Amino acid sequence: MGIWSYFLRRLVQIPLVVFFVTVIIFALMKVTPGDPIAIMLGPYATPETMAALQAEFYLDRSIPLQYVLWVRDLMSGDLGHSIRSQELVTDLVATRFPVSIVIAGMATLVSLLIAIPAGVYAAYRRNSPWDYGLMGFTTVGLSVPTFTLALVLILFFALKLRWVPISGIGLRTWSDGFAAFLLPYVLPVAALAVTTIAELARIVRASMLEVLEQEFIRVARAQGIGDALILVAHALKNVLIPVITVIAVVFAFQVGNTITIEYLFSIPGVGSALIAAVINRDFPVIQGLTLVVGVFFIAMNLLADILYAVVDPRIRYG
Amino acid sequence: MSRMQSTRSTRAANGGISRRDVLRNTAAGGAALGAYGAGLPLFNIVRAQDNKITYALFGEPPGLNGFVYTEIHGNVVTTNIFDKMARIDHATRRIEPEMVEWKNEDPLTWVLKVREGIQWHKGYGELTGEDILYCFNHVQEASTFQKGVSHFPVDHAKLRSKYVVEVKLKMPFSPFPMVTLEYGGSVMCKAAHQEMGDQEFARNPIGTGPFELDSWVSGSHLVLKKNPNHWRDGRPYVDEVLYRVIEDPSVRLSSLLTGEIDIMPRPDPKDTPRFREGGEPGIAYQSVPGWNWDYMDFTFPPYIAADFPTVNVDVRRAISYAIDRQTIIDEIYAGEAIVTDNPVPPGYLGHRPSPIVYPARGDLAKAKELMAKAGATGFDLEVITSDKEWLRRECELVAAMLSEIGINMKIRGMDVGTYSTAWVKKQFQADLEDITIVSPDVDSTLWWFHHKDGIVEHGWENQAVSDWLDEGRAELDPEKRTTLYHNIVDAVLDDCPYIYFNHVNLVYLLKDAVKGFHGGPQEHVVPLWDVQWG
Repeated sequence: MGIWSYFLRRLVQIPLVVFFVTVIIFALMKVTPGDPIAIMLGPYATPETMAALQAEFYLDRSIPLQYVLWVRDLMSGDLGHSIRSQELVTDLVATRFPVSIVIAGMATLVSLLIAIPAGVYAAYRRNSPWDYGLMGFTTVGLSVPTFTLALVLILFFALKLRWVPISGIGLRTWSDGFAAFLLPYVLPVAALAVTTIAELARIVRASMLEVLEQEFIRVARAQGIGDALILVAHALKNVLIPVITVIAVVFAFQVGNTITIEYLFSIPGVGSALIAAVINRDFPVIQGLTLVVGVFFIAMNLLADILYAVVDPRIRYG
Repeated sequence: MSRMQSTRSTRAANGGISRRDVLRNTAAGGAALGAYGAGLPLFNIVRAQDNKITYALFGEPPGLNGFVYTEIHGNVVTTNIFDKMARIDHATRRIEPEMVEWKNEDPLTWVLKVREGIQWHKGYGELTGEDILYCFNHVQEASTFQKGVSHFPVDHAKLRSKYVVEVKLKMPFSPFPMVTLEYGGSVMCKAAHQEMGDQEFARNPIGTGPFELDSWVSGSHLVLKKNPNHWRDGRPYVDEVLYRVIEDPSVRLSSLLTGEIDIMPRPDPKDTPRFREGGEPGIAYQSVPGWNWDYMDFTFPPYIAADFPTVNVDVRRAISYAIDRQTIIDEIYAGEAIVTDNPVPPGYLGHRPSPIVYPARGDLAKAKELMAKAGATGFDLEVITSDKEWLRRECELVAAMLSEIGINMKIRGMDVGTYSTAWVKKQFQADLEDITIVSPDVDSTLWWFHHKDGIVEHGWENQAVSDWLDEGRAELDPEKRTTLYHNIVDAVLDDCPYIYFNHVNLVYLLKDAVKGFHGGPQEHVVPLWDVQWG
């Protein structure tokens, strides 16, 4: 089977997965307690106003019919609109999702830039203080919840040292100056990146240790090639195979992780919109945003599979 | 291993980077960055220079149309975009004309004279009686929430001349200026609303207030710019108000301390003592008893079995005596509340110093005596509450207090929507909740809750109280109204259909240099036109 037929086979599975995602999301919304109309209108709402809004959001129909109507609207690209703010969910996705993608992308990039050299160096200096230090950091990085870490970062770098602001993403543009624009990203990106650095550094280190024991490395050394060249030109290529395959998934998880981070750092991304929607039981927004994030995860998983098949030809025939 | 060590030595000798080099360079870089950061607070903008105020909202407004949205965040912003027909002066407790002056021609006829020369934002022309009439009609035709809570006495309105509107009532209603013109008196621009419709208007409001909406970045911030044509002399003093959405209270506080915001509402109660005691240089603290209550209420037959223990008045009195209100204030609100046992907060007509009957520290002996008199030897009581963290803790505290008199309180937390539905439909045994009183007239603190036709009355019927409440609405003389409301409060204290605990203070923290900010007793009304940098 060639790469294209593998890709097509994975592609046709997507509608089925998306269908199950819609069913799960819809079912979860229906079993979640709470009346969004009552929340929005408050206890003094007139019965006519409540009835009109219920009809507008199909809440006066049977549950199966509500699902059918939702999917029908989805098929025409209509994710509905917020019960609370009347804002179109597609507009919300268009304004909020890019913010989350940028944060997650920056965190992934920073993670790669730090984790790869750190992992390579730790493997190169196996059992040295560097190695122990990195392993200690990865243990801490994987153990501390992102939320807690974010609070510590705020306390230390924003409140005590005053190096960076706590929030401000979305507030400033490039015209306010490079530093003013970029500084609000520092803490959220750092909070998100620490866990990923720890994860990736461990993968890189383990992979590098394996590669360094390979025959071709010994041959290269026997030929008198320097360590730096061996690491960069020969070992790193092989080490990056597992890293490349997990990048897409790591990136997707970073988007998921931004939910708590966005709340803390007041970031106008999809996560903060989702939290507000959950608090207000704004079901169309929850359904729409969850679906978009779900489809994004599916797409990233597909990308990971394809990358894996591209970099390791043995996989595509599986 | 030995091969690697030898390679490292060789590389260092050849001018490569050794471990020591890395350490040295990292330390130097860190020190440089530290010095840079300490010397240059890059983000700490001094807003006094650009004459801008940054206010932290603890949630994002869903929209800025006062005829659609009733929640706090939107109202905090629209206070500064829209004027009202009348406005309560919190300092004097008087109702003052804002967009209209009024005259009560006869008990059913109120004539409103529009202040001339007021301009709508963004070139929408002058405010006239047409706009006022449009709003009165819109409430009735669109059945907005005002129809039920502030415009219920209105029969119809009509235009007498360009600047004069006549409002005919269905019944005499003395709090008309307070309830209809103040609380329900927001006015929107007819031309703009007709042009845009509800949805677009809520994102692009056109008012006559001191500020106009400049931009709104969803989930992040709203910018209001000074209205250059505003009718209040010389105001507003600042050129711009930046509302930033910061939901977490600890992050709001940190943002104030780092200088990113200038005024913040609702600090976490555990953080307030150090500011109250002046422990934070450069930060001022304001605390005002709020127009709100924490309370417990009960259902009555037919919404609950006639033999259920709380139907017995002595059990309800016992509960009120068993509550140690001061402990609730100390433990839940860190002292930021005042004790009450009745529904009339300070500042309202008919307010009396609290507590009137039930001691702040409770009276357990009296409570036990009343339980014994009622023959209630102990029972389970399901208490509903909404999903607010402080109410959950308050419920736990009250449960501990009631266990002392043999009541096993079962707490049932609900999301706000489910809770509101259960409350309005009277589907509960008892309820512990807080509520903000949105209208500045005492009628609003009592009628809806204690009149037999009130929408949140739960089966408690007291004909005398209902009669007094109706009489109070028709009576224009404040002294006579005061007597009536004292009678009502005494009856409520005696029969305990609602048990009141406290009025929670509204706490604001702000930079010392911010002058002219006065947090009022209404959380949703935060005027900023008097604010300036000192």
